[in-house]
Amino acid sequence: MNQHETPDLLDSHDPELARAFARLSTAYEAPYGADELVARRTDRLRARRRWTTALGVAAAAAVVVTAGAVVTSLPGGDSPAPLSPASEGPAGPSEPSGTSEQGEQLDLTDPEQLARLERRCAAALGDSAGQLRSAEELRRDLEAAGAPRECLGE
Amino acid sequence: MDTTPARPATHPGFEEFATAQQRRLLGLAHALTGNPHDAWDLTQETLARVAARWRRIDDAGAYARTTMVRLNTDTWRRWRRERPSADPAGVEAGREPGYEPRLVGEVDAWLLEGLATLSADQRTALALRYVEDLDTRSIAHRMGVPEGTARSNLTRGTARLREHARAAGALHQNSEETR
Repeated sequence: MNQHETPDLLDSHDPELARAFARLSTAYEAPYGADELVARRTDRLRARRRWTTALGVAAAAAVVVTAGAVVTSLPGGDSPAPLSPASEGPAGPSEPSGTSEQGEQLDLTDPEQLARLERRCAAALGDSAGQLRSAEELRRDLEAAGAPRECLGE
Repeated sequence: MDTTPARPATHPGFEEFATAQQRRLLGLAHALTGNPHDAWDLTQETLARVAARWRRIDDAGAYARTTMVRLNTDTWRRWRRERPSADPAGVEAGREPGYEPRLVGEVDAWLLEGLATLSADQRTALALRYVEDLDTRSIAHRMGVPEGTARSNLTRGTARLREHARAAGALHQNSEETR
């Protein structure tokens, strides 16, 4: 028993439950050793980091595209030119782009490519429903995974 | 093609830690999640995160357990909520077929059934109490909640589990009288 034990906890300590928990906590053995576990999981984490970097680029591109759309929709007719309209040919040097894990050049101003990348990133992040997490949730996961700061938008 | 993953090269000391702690962490994860499959996922994720920060961690055991608890109450709970209901067994796409935890001991069915009826916070408080043998203050710290909240989760979770065990005929009368 822990030396800092308090009376209320002594009251809730049930020997039958303690024995059942002890059995439960030793009932299973890992299917492989720690070295292989870490190697497998590290591979997955690395893959996740690569995709979350791509996701960060995609998110930034989405913001730029959205900002462009908002600016061009302002009334008055003298608003600045759109930043990177998706329908006007391939992305130029200042337009958001990225490279996929397979080495393909991605045009992230293309809504179809962006959506495809988002789905792939979401799948890589383990979200079987294919839905992206909120920015805050993603940030927490990235931080916990030790992702580079640029993935966090910093 | 060789599908064996490459061994990470830069974690001296980590492998010994993981080897020594893996079974205990899996046990804690089992109590936290209530099923061996989620427990194994949680154990793997926890150890991978410990590995990623290995050189910056002072107390790896405490860090691993805190990480596990918070992963379970945060990420894991969210993933479960978002999973399609057609997947009640919790089998997700990323799981590795053929690499499931092996049953080598006994499991009380009533305990697993009872754990499934508890909230994630109650299950966490009980796991830390009975598997890790922590007091209320340490449980609160590990869960990142006020002490009163931890106490409440512990008391309600214990009462509910006792009720479940009694209904299943698994709790002896004299055990109840020790309260």
